[in-house]
Amino acid sequence: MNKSVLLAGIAALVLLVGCDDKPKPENAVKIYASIDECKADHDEQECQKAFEGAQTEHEKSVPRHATLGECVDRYGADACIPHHSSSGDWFGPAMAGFMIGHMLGTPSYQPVYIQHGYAYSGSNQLGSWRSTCVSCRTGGFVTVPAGSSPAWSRSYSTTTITPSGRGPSATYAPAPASTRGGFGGSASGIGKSSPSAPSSVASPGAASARGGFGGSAAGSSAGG
Amino acid sequence: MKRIKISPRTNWSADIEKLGFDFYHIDGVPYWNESAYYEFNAAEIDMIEAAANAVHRLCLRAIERIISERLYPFMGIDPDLGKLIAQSWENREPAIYGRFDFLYDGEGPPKLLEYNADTPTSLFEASIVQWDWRQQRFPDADQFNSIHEHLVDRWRHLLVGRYNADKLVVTTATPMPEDEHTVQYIGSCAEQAGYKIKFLPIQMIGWNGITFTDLDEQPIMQVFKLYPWEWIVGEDFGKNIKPSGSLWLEPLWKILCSNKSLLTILWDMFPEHENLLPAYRDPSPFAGKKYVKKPVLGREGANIQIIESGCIIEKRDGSYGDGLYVYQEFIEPPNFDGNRPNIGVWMCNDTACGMGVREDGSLIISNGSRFVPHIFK
Repeated sequence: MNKSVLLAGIAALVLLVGCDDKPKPENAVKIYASIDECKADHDEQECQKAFEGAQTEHEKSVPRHATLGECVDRYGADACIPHHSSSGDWFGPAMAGFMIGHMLGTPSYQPVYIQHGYAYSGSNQLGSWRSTCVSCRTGGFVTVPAGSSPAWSRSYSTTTITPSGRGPSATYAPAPASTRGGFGGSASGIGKSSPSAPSSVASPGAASARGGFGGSAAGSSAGG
Repeated sequence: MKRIKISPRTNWSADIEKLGFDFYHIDGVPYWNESAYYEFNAAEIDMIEAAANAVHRLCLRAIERIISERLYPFMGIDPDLGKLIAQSWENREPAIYGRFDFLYDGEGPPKLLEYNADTPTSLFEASIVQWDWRQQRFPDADQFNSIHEHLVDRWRHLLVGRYNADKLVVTTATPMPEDEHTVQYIGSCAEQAGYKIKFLPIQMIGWNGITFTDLDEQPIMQVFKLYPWEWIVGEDFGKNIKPSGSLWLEPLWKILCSNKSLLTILWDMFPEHENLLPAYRDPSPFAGKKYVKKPVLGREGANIQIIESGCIIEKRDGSYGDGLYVYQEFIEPPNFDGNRPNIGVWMCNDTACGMGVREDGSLIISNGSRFVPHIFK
């Protein structure tokens, strides 16, 4: 592989990678963009070994895409680097950084790629790529969801629905006889006390099922 | 166009609280900022108004094309949903409002960034709070703002058509103070137009197998929602909208405006239009240039990245980043002492009816950007 291309990729990624200098205390895996960054937490030899190990792995296993478009779809335009080889041209993501695999229990040194806002090592989704700051420069973290479930989903607020108090109060009065909270599915966790399946929708005219809307909000504003 | 520093009214926070504006801090950061204002001249305001009216017409033509050529897959929209969208359009379902975001530097023509036509917010501060500020601070100056009058008028106008005044449910997801406040304001405009209003969190809307119902088990036939259509149609009750026969505002066809694929279709149909920026589905035309990557379904600046020479130079994270993207040419927003203004032009139905300026230190405007009042002379 063309080394200068790889290095250019990594240099570019210093801008892309991360946020803070301080590691998150728990449930966090630190991803290092350079040996220098790694040295803050580990001895230089281990960092060197980790970087080289990750780079070797990267060269061996970097996902290859025939077109820039495919690569961009997955990793974003900012991450895709063209490669030229005797067997033809291809595109692959730059290594966003490397990690020291304590989380996986073995001392493996893995390249990390960022895909649609999530950090991946191989096919393992490490968690949501965290960069709340706008002009991030060094050091990146991923926050691993509790239980390390790879199926990351947006976290739902478990807050019970509370009327805002600004509307006419009568409209918030608890409904008289009907059973409420008739929906599970996407709305789970948003303020329903006794979810039941949509199939339990009562016969016409009887009590209404509720909770069939609102599940997508997941604590984020619906406006914009 | 100037940005002028000014000392805030002595009791500014009490003054705006009196108006019912209680989210002037968002996440602890001041959102309403009256330590400065923007001053425009009449020619500039004319130019902004004309741009919004023109681009709105272009958008309607783009929607016609999307529907007649069934470009739904291109927009990431399921073809079955496309049929419902087409019905909504062909039935001429009425609309209330929308907000354009333009970049404008006081010199060249305003450039469209996006059209928030489905769930726009920052309405109350544009319509009421900055008007109140103008009356106290610059009673002799003008402000591009007849939003309130237009909204009330628009609601009244709908009564001539298929809407009736008996009951209008206004809804959004709760608890979300900003969104709740926006729908309450919209509801109060409808109330002034003669409607009976019921506010109901969207999670509490019921379905009895025939109609949607309120908490008294009474049918809901007219709804104003501040809740994205792309969420509604994906939820359990989404499939009930059509059989329910209920009327929903904003109408479903507006899902085509808030989808940023519209930007690429506009550029394809009207290349070189002075109010549009080049926008494509693929970043390759921007090789070597600065461009902006936006999720097709993003809101509030989430997941937007500005890219130069393959590097992200600025970005905002969020929860909208896992679908299609569009790529739009980057132009430098004007810089007033480190503040980057973004011009929100309010559309009441088909007419530009007011304006609100939001600014940010960042190049990307979000829901945490500051709202700064304006006047023109």
